[in-house]
Amino acid sequence: MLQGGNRGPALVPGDANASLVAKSVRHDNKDLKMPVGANKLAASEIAALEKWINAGAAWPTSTTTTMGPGDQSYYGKLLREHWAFQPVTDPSPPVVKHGNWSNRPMDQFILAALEKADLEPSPTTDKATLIRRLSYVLTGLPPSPLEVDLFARDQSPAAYARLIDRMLASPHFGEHWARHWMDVTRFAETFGNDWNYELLGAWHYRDYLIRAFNRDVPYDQLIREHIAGDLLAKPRLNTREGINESEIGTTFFRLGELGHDDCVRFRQIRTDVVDNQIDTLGKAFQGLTIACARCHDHKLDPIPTADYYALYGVLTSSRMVTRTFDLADANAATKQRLTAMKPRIRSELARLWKEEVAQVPGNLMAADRAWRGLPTKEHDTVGDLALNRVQALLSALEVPKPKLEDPLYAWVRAANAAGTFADQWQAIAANYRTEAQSRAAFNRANFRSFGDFSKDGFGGWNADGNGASPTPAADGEFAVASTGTRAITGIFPAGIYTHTLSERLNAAVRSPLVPKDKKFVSLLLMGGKLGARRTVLDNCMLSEDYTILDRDTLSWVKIPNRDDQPELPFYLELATKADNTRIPDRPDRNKISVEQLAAPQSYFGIARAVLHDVDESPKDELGQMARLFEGEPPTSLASLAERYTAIAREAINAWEEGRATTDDVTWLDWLMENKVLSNTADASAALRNAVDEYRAIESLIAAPRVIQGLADLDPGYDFPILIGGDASRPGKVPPRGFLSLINPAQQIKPFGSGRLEVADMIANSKNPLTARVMVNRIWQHMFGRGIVSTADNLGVYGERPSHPELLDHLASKFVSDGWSVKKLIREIALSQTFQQSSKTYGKAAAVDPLNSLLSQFPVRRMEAESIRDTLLAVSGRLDRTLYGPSIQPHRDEPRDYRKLHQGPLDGDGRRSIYTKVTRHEGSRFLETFDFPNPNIARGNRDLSNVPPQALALMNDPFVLEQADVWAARLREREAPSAEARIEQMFRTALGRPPSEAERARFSGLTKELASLHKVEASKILSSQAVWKDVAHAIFNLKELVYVH
Amino acid sequence: MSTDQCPGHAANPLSRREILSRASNGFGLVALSSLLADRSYAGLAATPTLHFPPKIKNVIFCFMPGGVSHIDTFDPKPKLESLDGKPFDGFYQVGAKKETNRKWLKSPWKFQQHGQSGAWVSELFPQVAKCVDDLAIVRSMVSGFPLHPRANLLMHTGRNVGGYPSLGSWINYALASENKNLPGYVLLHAGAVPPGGLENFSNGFLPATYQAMPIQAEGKAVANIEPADKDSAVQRAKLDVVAQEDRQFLSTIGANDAIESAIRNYELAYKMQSIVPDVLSLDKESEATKKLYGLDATDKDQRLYGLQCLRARRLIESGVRFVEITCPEIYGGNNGTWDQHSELRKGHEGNARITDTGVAALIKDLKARGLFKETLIVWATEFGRTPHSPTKDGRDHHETAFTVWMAGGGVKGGVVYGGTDDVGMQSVEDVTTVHDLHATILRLLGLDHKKLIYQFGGRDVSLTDVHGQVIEKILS
Repeated sequence: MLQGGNRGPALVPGDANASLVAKSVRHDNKDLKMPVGANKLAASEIAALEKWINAGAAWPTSTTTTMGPGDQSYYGKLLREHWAFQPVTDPSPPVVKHGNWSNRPMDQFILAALEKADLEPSPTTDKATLIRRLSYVLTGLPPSPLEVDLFARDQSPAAYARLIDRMLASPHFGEHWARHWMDVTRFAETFGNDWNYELLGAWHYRDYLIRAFNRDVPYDQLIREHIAGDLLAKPRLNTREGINESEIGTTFFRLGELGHDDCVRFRQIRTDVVDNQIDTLGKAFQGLTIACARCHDHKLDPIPTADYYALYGVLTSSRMVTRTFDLADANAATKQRLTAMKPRIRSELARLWKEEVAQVPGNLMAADRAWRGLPTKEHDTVGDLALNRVQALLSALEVPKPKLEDPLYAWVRAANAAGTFADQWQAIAANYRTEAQSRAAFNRANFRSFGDFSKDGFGGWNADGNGASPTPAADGEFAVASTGTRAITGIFPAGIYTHTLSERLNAAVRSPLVPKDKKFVSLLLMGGKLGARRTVLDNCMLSEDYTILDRDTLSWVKIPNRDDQPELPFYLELATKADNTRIPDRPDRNKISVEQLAAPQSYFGIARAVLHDVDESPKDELGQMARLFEGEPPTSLASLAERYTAIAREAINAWEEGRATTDDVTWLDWLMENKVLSNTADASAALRNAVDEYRAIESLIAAPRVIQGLADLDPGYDFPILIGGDASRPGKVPPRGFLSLINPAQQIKPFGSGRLEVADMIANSKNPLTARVMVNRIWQHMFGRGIVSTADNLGVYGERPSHPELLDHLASKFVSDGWSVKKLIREIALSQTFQQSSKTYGKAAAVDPLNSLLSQFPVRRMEAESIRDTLLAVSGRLDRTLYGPSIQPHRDEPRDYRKLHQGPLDGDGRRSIYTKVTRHEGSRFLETFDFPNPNIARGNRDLSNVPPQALALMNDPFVLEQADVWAARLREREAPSAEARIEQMFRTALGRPPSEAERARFSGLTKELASLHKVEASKILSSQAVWKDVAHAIFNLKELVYVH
Repeated sequence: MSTDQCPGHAANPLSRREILSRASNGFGLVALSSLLADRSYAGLAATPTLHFPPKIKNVIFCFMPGGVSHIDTFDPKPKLESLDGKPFDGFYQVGAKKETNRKWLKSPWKFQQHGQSGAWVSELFPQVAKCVDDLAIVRSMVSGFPLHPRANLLMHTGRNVGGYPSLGSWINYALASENKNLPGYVLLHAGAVPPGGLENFSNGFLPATYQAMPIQAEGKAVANIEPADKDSAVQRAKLDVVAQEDRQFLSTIGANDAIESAIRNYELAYKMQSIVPDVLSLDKESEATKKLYGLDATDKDQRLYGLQCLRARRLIESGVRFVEITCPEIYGGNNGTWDQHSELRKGHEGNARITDTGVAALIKDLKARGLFKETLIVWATEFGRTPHSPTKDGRDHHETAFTVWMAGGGVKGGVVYGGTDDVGMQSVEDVTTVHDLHATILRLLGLDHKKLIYQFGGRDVSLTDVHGQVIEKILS
């Protein structure tokens, strides 16, 4: 109201007559009468409003008030009074009447509450139920019959604790708990929205979580990695896998929905992307709905809009980029071998070239005579090789209207001399001098350097990836051709070249933010095999504006600056295929073949970058030609031929000795291109061997591991409050920061985003929310319902905790145990509360119908993944392989153009966590059982109960297929009788033997099915149809899909 | 800003009695455990009765994806006749930069006034034109973005990003299905899904029971509805044993509403196996009815569209609250049926031919059966098309002006509401947003868009967010 809307400020504190609000309710202005569509306010009401304005218009949630305990404001009151904003305490366990139930503090908190309600805990459940319950809660999978038997037989008092430890150590623990966390981080593997582009490498984040939960990475570390894993002073390096684990965490921010290219034209779309990041961060780590403060101060929690935009500034200051998380020594041994081989290739080429260069004078003279139609001389007729060379030189001479950049320009001019050779040469030299000076002057006047690729640091450009070196390639660096007849692809001037060792090495090179004072940026570039250049305006990562590079020699590319968007950050990016978020592209863009997509090679190189206003790129300053005119001038074409030869020889020597200059490189590239110097791997046996050996080693380079992450490459910038959340209405600019309710006196460093500081404020034992939120989530996954039932909201509108002191007890223990998730789970699993029977006893149903006091273990349906995994485990089809690229869900109708590809019906037998989460359309089977929509953080899953679930288990082809698989497997095994087989099936599926009644019931079923399928009684045991149906019936038992 | 839409008020928690009374079985009702897991149902409990007397019970949403050209269908612009071929010098941007070389383009189709009302309809829709006195044509629509997925999402969920519940889900959340054996929200399609994907028909964060059940025109109509067992006795034998086992399991647990519901769901699912095919079957329809819907058409796509229209009638007769019919993707490529950047004549003519008969038949048939009064037919698209073009036979996306129409209970017939400027560039008179359209549909069902809320992630969320005004002038 103070900042004002379209008509200006609505309120002028202290002056009612100047305030629009007062004018409008008084109906002073006929165009602005408030309230709209209702009667005019009563005079007394208007007077009260005027009085309030004149008194200073005190507003309870004024953004100008600093938050903190002791404030008299509404927010101050909330801060003092709302339970979740108070420091975590470590309360002593209460005194209980039935002290013999358990001596564990956790149980005493539970028991005390039960006793207060005059309820009793339930007895301990039987061992078969307990192991099944524990197995599902900890690993999401059923225990095997052997595990059940062993546990039943183990009478040792420590048996249960050992069981917990074994399950905590199972690799499947990490799979199950990673998936819980993925609900919160809205994990998906396509970007959704328009073309559903692939979220490249998203599955690495899933594997990262599985490893993290399995290794019990402390939760505070996990938070730091999610928020600022790329900025940690000591990242968590996984030397076994050869990766930087911490960097993968930042994929967290990138998992939201994203469309292509429209975020600049429609600013709202970009703010929606950041809003989703803020919303997810707030819910995931703080259990707060920060995103509510996007348009106005939070109505219920003490979060002013300024805090929202302080956090917005932090997140938008980071670039959304692809990152290679391979350790620097990825491929180190291979790279070392390649590096060691290059001198061999270099010296062999130089040796060959020095032989060839001796023939240059003769060849050049012969080409010249042919060019001018003069009779050939006898010694012109040499071998085929020389003939080819002469032919090549003739082609070079025949270039119509040669340019000054062409080394033979001087020859052509001198050969056509009207006057004496000496005069003509002088004129040519003068022409070159003048032109060189004028071009240099033009370049000086019109171009400003934008990066230096011959020096470390590249003048502010950033290079990421296995093909990126922190130091530039020196003049004369070269790349060995990975395929084809050539030995090398070229010799380069100083710069960044991703393929100097191998085209299999990936990279992304990014400019600093482009200053907007010039109209163009020009880059001296090369690239191929889907290497591309991109422009990124305001972090629109799926921008349409990218071009596939298709030249293996350097040339200037002129790119229009985005001075039409002075406020928006703009940078340039070069990317190999693996680093290009737009590949694979949609069908009608950049026709890319399947082979091109699958090929491991891709590369680019950059040597220069300049900013300019003139509508052309820098001119060649002809420095390399100066050496033609040094020393005594040539006196004839023959002596000029000697000069060319001397220049070539010197360039070769310099290159061989590693002292080549940019000019030497220019000469060598021209000589190779014009076949004066041979560049075929077959030029000598030694070269052939060396190149073959090189290629064999080069093929060992491993594919890069790339994620979508964040990078801080720029000075951070604060972001204005958007009034009413409207991107076209910027207001005041709050400094970057985090919630004032967590830390009222925060400091963010001026350079960078401030993510590291935010991470430290969240992953902090003093933060009242962090530990409580996570402990509550873990509790929820153990008991089906949190101590606070609204897992993503511990704010004022969230539910109150059922056991506040217990939550604090566990939260403080969680922190003092080093934020160990496994220790907390172990603690809870060991409790009597967890081991209770699930049967409803006595009056609990009446007194505590929601069972929030936990007088029994709560029965609940399994999550979608566990249902599917159970069918696979029971049928014997389950493939327990961990990690790797995801498997597409099975679809009725694949839509490849929207990246909805077909997947196998049984998902290759892998656990559901490896089923690809595709936006637009996910796995129908999993979604039927409430697999969540992956766009918004979802700490509480639905557990709906609808007929389509029954229909799925009755009729879905996947279920039938698994029944078939199970039946086939059963038939392979000897069974003395149908009853024995039924018993085996019960043990496998339900972890218990059938009762007598069940034995009879299923025995009856087999007979009935046999008769329906017309199977003779003696052949029942070998009937696939009968056992498939029995298996199918067991798949439909509620007991199979309920944890109890 | 109205405070009852923004986070603010805590409604009364449900009593155990209320919970149990809602936990009976079927569509539109969810398991007890879910009800109790979240306070979200408080919003529903606070509005046990409708906010207004309802005018209709069902909605049939004929969605025309891709962007139907308003100036070629229901919004004639004679001025374009004289401007045709002259340069368009306004601002138009396709990609990153402004596009030049655009020219005004008149409509290739003739317009005529029809019916008592004399409303204008182009020759593209001869059948719908005959029903014009039943239509309330809204010519002044605006959308947020000229981008298919965002505009589609907006038209379906009131948001331009994914993850929010669809209109049909909201309606079922509020009203539930009248028929406990059928889901309340059905999507009739012919294999094509508009940009934005199934997200358009998602229940978002509403319970899964409110998601759309897709029914295909051809092949297997509904997933998992056909019994896997060819011999029904086999299925019955298995289900009987399952039922006995489940009851035994329940008895070992004690009272458990979720398991009880799950058990009853099996009986319902069993019945659905025959009920759904019955509803979709046309065996009991007369030849005259089939002909009315164009099921005798030579064009296969027209036949399939007519089939889905007839199924829509049968579904709402059976108590399905919200039926959406989408178009086959014949002319529009991957971006929606009506997306004619080129080949406007061929594409719009083809799409009109496919859909005209079926849509008009719905109006006629519903009227003949007395269902028109209790049903709302909404004919909508995500945006219009430009009156200017770089080619002579194509139009681009245009979000600042387009047309939708409604027909049925509670809506005036033969009305043209709102208007665009004289070249169809901008809605200028009674500008109507997608949220206004949603608010109006809800109002007709007896629901107040400001009060239909669901608490998710700590805030009250509604279909129309903080926007939306009912289009009072077209209500009868």
